[in-house]
Amino acid sequence: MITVDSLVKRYGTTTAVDGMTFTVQPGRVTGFLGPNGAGKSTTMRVVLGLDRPTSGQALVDGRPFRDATAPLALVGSLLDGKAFDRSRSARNHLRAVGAANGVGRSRVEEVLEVAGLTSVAHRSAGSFSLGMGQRLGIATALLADPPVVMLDEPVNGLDPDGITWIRRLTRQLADEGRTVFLSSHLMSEMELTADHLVIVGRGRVLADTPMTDFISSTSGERVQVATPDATTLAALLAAPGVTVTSAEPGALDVRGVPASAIGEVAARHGIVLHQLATQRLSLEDAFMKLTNDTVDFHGTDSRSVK
Amino acid sequence: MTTPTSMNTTAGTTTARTRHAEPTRGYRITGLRLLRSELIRFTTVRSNVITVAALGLLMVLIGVIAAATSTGAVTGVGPGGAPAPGFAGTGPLATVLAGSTPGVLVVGVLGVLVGAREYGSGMIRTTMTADPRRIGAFLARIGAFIAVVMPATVLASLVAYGAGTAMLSAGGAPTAAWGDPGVARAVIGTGVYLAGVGLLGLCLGVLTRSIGQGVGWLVGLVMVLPGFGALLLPDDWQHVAQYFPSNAGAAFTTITESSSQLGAGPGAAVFLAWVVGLGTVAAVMLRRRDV
Repeated sequence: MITVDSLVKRYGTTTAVDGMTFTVQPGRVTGFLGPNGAGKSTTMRVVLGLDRPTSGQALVDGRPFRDATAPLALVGSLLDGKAFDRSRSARNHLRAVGAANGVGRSRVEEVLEVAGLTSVAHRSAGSFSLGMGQRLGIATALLADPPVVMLDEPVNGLDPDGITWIRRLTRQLADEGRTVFLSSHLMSEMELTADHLVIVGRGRVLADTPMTDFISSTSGERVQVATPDATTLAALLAAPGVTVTSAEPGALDVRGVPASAIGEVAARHGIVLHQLATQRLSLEDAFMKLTNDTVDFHGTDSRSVK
Repeated sequence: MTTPTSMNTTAGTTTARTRHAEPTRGYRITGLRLLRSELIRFTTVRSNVITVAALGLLMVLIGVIAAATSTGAVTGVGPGGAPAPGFAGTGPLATVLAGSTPGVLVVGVLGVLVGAREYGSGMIRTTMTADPRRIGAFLARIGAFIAVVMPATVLASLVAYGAGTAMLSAGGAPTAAWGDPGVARAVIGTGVYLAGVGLLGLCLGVLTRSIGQGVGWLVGLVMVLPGFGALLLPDDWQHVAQYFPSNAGAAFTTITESSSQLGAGPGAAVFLAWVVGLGTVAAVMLRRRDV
């Protein structure tokens, strides 16, 4: 379990993490989702004791990671895709890193196998593609069979085959009872991988919610209606479980009633409809809506493009 | 590259197991394991191995060539194209150990590379997550460097001395006998000094976290400071120059005595103090800084 408590991290005048509090539970995949610059990587570095928090703390199983006697067997982590010396072979990289905690040769061969790198293990890591480097990073994370696995942007640079592999691997790790914490800036990745979401923007936690709750709160249909008799129609549609909002005169936003039912009500009362359109809100839209105000660097027309 | 069919992260374990906070399989940090990790790191970068071998070869070759030049077996070219004996005026010991001058640069740069390389790739973060208290990994890196480089530099000094002296005596030139006062100390001292310069480089690499800056500081400290620093010092401060790392090194790597130089024992102590001092600063900064 990872516990992040009132964490603040400033670099000079820049605040990277601005008071985050959340926990990452074992037995499920937790997605750490937010736009670039939201403080995800910084938070992960603080968890690993690489960066010191300005205030607050981050604990692994209730203790600072720095106190671990077998750190690789406590948290397996992937921070940078290409975090290895170029001239060393993949196998020797794993041997060198693992040796520090007593990981032997046979385990190195196992993680090479898991990452699908056995056939290229003798090649220098510098010759690896981005995706292969990512696999080597994940193999490194798994070296000492850790109960907590923390991966920063694991699918970065992976081909579709690799993405499927990561999904199955993280699912399996969580099913084995491990704590799995993945960061991403893409909702579409998390939608298929994560059980739980911690959504962040500008160093703050915006949402900490089970994936299913996030889906049910944001999906659901929304019907846009344009009619000269907006007030009358709104009154006719009023019922428990139905919300009707109006952004401008002559336009209604209806939730809880399908478009067909609205059309029938309008016909029965002789109300003229100019538009009757069902809108689906995707998770991506919901995520964008949640984080839009917190994105530091917008393209000039990013809001209209979506 | 294939996608493995078995997703088991632990071979032989097919059922989900209870996860414990305490490590399984006896995984734990120990000093020996950290040292082993650093030895693997050093020896699996091919350029490190090549550099150590080249350093040894350089020491021996330059020693032999310098000896041959000084006996007139090979003649250098003096001003005006007239043949001139090279290394004339240098003592026989300094002649056969002449390779240590370029050797200092080679071993120092090797040290900077060992200290700073992982900062360029980001691997330093992986290293630090395997030893989050950091000092053990740093000491292990120093230990691995000493374990590999010092035997090589001491051996190279011995061979350069042996081969160079044989060349001198074959040419009928005066030689420094192993039993003469200070000769054994200076020959072994040269090997130790070279490894020590490598350690200074390693610490500078860790401090600067950059190969370029580390090399710059190394050249400044070991090669520029002795010559240039002495020029800047006022007359009654000249004695300070003997405490510069290379001058302190010269005190135990040569047998010429001078009033402007420390004795062999104090010189070795001052040089050791430089290495330990710089190592301590590097360790403190490594522990304090974010990586």
